[in-house]
Amino acid sequence: MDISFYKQQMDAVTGAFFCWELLIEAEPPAALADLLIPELFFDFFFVHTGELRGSEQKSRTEWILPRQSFKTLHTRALTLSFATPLRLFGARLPLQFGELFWAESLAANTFLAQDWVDPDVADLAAFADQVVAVVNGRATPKNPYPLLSGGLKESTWLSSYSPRHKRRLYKATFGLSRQELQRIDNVHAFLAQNCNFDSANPRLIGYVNAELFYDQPHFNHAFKKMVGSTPLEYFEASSVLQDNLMAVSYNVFPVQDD
Amino acid sequence: MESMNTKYSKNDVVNDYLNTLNAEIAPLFFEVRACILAAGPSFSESIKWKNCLVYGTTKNHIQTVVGKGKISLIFLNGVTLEDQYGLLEGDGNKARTMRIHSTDFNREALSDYVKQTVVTS
Repeated sequence: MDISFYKQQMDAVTGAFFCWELLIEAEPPAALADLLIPELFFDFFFVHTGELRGSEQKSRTEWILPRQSFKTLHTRALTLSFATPLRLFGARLPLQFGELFWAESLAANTFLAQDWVDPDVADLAAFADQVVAVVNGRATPKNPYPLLSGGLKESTWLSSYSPRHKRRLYKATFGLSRQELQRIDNVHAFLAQNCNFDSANPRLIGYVNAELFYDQPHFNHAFKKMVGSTPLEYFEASSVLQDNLMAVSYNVFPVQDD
Repeated sequence: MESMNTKYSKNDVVNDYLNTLNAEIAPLFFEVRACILAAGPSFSESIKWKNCLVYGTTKNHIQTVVGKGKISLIFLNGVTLEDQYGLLEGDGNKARTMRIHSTDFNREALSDYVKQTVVTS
């Protein structure tokens, strides 16, 4: 199997973090599955060659992803299945993009069909240019000021709003409550570490952040609920796309402490 | 930091990782990497989580950990390997570790472990 992953870092002013291209070829053709776990990023996918199918274990549903789709924030893991050859382009967008996305409100756990790029886009650079043009050209602020002012820190202008009103604002802007955003962030605070599974090293509990999780059972519960497996099982699982996206995100945009 | 004969990956993320290796460990790292990829051509490299270089097929099999002056290779299902060279450490339920300190490491042993890993994967 021949797997290539290319990325193009984007300037912050473009509104996108980075764009990427994934190519997978195999002889004979093979079927693969990739586990996507919840992250605090929005993603745009363009299936240039091949087909992507999404499925959720919990709801036992399966669907074909539109050729161009916008992945909203997710609270649970989902599986992407595809057959080779596959040529997939994507753009990773910051959480703050939820405040600028032109749809009236954002539902979580969905893929919205989009029309951002020319289906005959030649390469990653051309793809990135087209994404940036759409992201900037269509951006429509939902609120008078941003809800978040760095990481998950809430902007001061929200302090006079009632908890109920704030809940509504969060749901409309990100599709999730503040508590759900924080839960995702907490799990990634663990994953963003360089865990060493050498048997001579500290056990998993050595990596569990005590400020975020009361103890290891609480962490295990939160992790399993979000990812669907234990940390070690998840480490052993190969997820070509998710692993690359996470590695780039962690190294360029480390998980922020509030 | 790469040696003259470094074979780069088709994965930009892996290449970023290779480029950040410090000069002291890079030669050893590239020797080990070349040995693994020669013995397990079906392996693909990827970065898991923040910066764990792993070798795998449809599952990840070997984790590379860079330490001070050494490379540890963690065979995630190393308990299934037949260790005729006695270089695998650990007594856990699954993982076994091979520690490599210099470029004159036992390539025959590493190749054997990798080949066994490929066969059992």
